[in-house]
Amino acid sequence: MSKLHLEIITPQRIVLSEEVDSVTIPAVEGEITILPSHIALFTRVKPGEIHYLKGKEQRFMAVNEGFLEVLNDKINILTDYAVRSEEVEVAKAEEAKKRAQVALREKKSGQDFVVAEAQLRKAILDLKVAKRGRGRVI
Amino acid sequence: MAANIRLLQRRRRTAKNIAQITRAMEMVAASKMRKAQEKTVAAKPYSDKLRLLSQNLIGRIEESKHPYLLPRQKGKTLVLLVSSDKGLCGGFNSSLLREFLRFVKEKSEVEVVTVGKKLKKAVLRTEALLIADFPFGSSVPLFESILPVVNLIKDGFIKGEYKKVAALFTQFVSLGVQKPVFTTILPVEKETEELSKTAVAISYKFEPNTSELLTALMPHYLEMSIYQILLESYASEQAARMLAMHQASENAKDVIWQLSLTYNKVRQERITNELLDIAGGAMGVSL
Repeated sequence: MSKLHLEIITPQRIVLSEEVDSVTIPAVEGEITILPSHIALFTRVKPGEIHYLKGKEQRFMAVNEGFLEVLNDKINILTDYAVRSEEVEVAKAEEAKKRAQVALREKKSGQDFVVAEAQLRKAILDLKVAKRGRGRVI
Repeated sequence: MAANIRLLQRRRRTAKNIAQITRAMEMVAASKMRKAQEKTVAAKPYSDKLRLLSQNLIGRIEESKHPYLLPRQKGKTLVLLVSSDKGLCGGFNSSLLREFLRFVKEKSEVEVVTVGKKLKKAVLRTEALLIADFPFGSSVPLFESILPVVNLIKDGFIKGEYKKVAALFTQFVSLGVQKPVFTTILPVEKETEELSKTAVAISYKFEPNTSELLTALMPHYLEMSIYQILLESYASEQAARMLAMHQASENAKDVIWQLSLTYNKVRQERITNELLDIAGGAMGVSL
């Protein structure tokens, strides 16, 4: 069976570039799973959890808002932030979560509030995928 | 005579110190520039893909249908002027200023957002209205740092205050050549025929629809283009500084050489004179 080439690209670097069997992505219209020979698709990605199958192994990643392009069995995800579940630094994420919560409680206005909210969402997401650990064999 | 010699020695020492400092600054600039280039390379896959996808969408939507694409007749011009926070970088800021002044002379109703302290004061002296200024910082610009700039530009344009938003920054042509250039940021223009054709050729299934996707994509596209501009300007600044400091080191070397020569000549002359004195004295005694 043919494989999919999954690439997750952020402005800083290419976070992931791998041959996979299937990918499940939180798109705006609902969660979608992409298998090989999918039609060309272009859609938005919601902040959430991506998981992909590589052979018998299932792996997880956290992604922020972004875009998904599927073209000729190549999947490109453009996002400003993405991290693999095993790379999440739990302590740091916990700390970031607390900091963001404090900032939110202080009810800062405008820009600060938006930033704090985004950070909180990111931290929660990080922690969620971190619980998945290094992935699992199914 | 003696004072003269000491003065020469002191001047030579000063020149040596300056040479040391300029050489250090040259090397710092070189390493900073390398870092900027690495960042640019790392950001390339993202920005290329983003551009291709944006062009695909732009090619499918009528210009008049979307606020980011709509060409406007009336309104002011907003210039994003990217200079540096620090000086000692040769003609970097002055050539930007020259370009800016020429632009202001031709156009009326120009508003300016500056990034970098150096040209802020210069802008205040012109007729153009400075509406915001941001510091550049002395290290590689962070992606987060551009968000307020982008918001300002985006909001102003969407409200219809500006007919055009352009950036004036220093393009990194090569290590030895950097030149100030204008690029249009908004309204987003279709790129050259060839690229847009290949981009549009791919027919995706769009979810939810092209217009909504474009609205979501455009802020990212703007962020990325402005970030690229900042990165490029930073690389140019460092390259300009490297060159300026290299020149300064070379000049200092010349000065040191000249001073050493004069110093040696003066010293020799003094010894000769002393010898003559002694010889003269001895001759006087023997007579």
